[in-house]
Amino acid sequence: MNTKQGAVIAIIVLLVVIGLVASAEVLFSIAPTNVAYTVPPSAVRAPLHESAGNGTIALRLNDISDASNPTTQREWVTFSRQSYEYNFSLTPAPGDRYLVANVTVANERQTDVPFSYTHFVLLSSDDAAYYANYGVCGYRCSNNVLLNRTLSGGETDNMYVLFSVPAGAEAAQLVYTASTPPIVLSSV
Amino acid sequence: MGDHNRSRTTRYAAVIILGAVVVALLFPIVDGLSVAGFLGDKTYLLILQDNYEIRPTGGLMNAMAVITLHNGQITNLQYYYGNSQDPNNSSPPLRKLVQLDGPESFTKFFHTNVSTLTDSNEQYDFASFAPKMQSDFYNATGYRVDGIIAIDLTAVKSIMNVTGPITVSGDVITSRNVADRLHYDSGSNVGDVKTPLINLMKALTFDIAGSITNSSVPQKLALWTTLQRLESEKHVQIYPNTGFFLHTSGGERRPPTADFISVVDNALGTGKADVGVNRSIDYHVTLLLDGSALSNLTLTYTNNCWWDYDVFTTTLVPPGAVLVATHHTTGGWEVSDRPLVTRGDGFTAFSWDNYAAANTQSRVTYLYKTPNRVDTRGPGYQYDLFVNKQAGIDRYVLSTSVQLPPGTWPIDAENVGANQVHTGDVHVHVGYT
Repeated sequence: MNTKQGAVIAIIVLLVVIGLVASAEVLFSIAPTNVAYTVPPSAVRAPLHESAGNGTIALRLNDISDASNPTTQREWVTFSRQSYEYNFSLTPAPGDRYLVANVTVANERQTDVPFSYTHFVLLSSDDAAYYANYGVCGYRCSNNVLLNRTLSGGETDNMYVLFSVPAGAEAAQLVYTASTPPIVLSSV
Repeated sequence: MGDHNRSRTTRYAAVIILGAVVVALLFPIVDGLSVAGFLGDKTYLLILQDNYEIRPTGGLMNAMAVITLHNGQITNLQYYYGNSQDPNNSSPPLRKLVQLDGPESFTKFFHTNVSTLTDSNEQYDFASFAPKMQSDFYNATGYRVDGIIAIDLTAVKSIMNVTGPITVSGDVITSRNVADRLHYDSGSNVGDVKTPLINLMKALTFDIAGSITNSSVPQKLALWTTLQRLESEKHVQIYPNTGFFLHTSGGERRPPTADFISVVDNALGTGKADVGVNRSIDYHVTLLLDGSALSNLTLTYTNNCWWDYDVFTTTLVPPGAVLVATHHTTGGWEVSDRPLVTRGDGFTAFSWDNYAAANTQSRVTYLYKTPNRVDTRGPGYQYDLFVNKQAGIDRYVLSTSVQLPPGTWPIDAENVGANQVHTGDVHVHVGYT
C-alpha cells in the first residue's frame, strides 16, 4: 500500500467515523420502553366497585377516569387543596394522558401496616405496566398514609392515584403489588 | 522533478491526514479517561434542578451531590438537599447565605443581594452562574470540585428512557414517574430527613453510572445521543465546557452580534406551576432604512394549572434598546405597573412580576427600538435574530414576522412564521436586497 492509498483509506475512515457520529442520533434514538408486570396466579381479584383483600389490607377500585374529566378534576382539586401536600398539574405532556384511579383501602388488622400508593401499577389493555405518579387523599383519608406510608389499625382511607400513560392507552387492571399475594382490581 | 515534488506533497498530505485521524480518534479517548478519573481523581458537583419550579439557570436547586470518580468508579458520593420552604428540615450547607453577584434586575426588584445557596442561581444563564457556584459551594462545604453538572427533571426522564426502570425501596421508578417522584421527594419531608430522595438519587446515580460502563454498544450510543440532545436543549449543562465530552455545555448566551431575545423566568411563590404553563413568544420586527428596528414582542403565559402562577420574568434584548410602550394584561385585565428596565454588558433587560391566575392567560407586550441590527456585509442585507431558550423549559411556541424597509425585496428566510413549536434555541434569518 503506497502513501496515496493510505491517504485515501484514512479519509474514508474519517468520513465513516463522522458519518456514524452524525447518524447516531437517528440510529439510536430510543422510544420509551414499555414496562411489563406479570400478575402471579396467586393474586386475589375483584371487579370494579368490589373489594378484595389478603387478610391484611382490602382494596376497592371505585372509579378510573381521564384527568380531563370535569368531575375528576373537581374532586382532585378539592382534595388537593384540603390536604395541601403538593400541587400537581392535571395537564399531561403532549402525547400522554393522565388516568386517575379512586381507590378505597382498609387495614383489616388492628395494628399498623405498611401501605403506599406508589406500589400501585396500572395495566393497560395491551399489557403495558404504568407505575403510579402521584397520590392525593380523598374522603376520610389521613395524609399520614401518603407521607409515612402507614395505615393505622382498622383505618379506612379513600384516595386518588394518578398514572401517566400514552394518549391511546386504556386501563384494564389496577394491581397493588406490595401485598402477598398481590391484589388485582379490574376496571370493569 | 515536478512528479517528485508532487509525490512528496502527496506523502506530506497523507501523513497530515493520518495524523488528523489518529488525533480525532485519540482525543475523545484521552478526554474520556480524564473525565472518568483514570488520569487522576475527578470530583464533580451534580445539581438536580427542579424545573417544575423554574429558575434562571433551569430550576430550583433542591438536591445536590458531590461525586468523586477514580478509574471510572464512584469512590465518594455525598448528598445535600435544600428546602426553601422549611429551613428546619434542610441540609445546613445549602441553607448558608451567599452574596448574589447580580443580576441588577433581580437585586433591584427584590431589594436584596443575598440568598441561600440552594436558591442562588439567579444569573441569566448557567455559564455565568457556574463559576460563582463552584466558589460558593467550596465556601459552604469545603469541597473543591473540578466541574459542575446540572441536570433537570426532563433530563432524568429522558435518560431513563434509555437506561430503563429501577426499583428503589420497593418502588418501581420509570421514565414516566421519575420526574414526579423526584419533585415530590425533594419538596416533602419524612421526619427530619429526606431518605426517599437520597435513596432515589443514589439509585439513579449508580444506575446511570452503571449504564455508561456496562451497557451494550447500541445502548451506550443511545445514551450518548440522548445526552447530546439534552445538552443542546439545556436540560443538561456542564461547567467548564472544555474537552470532547464536556464541550457542548449549553447555558451560555449567544454573542449579541445580531438581534436577540432571551426570556429568563424565575418562579415566585410556593406553587410549582411551570410544568403546566405554556409559553408563547410573538415577535414582529419592522426594519427601517437605516438598519434600526422597531420591535413588538409579546410573551404569553397560559396557565393550565388549577392554582395561580407568579413569575418574575426578564427579557434580554440588544444593548441600546429603548422601550417605547408596554402593555400588560392578566386574565384580560390591564396591569398598570411599569416594567423595570436595567442594562448590562451586551444587553438591555425588561423585567416584570407577571401573574396568571388558575386556568387564565397573562400577556406582556414590549414595543422597543433598537439600533442597527442589520448586517450589510456581503451581497444584500442580512437580518438575524437569535431566540435563546431558557434552560429547564421543555418547549415554547414561537411566532415571528419581519417587515422589510420600503423598496427592498426578500431573498431568503428561515424560521419566519407563526406557531412554531421549539425545544431549543432558534436562529431566525431574513436576507433581502
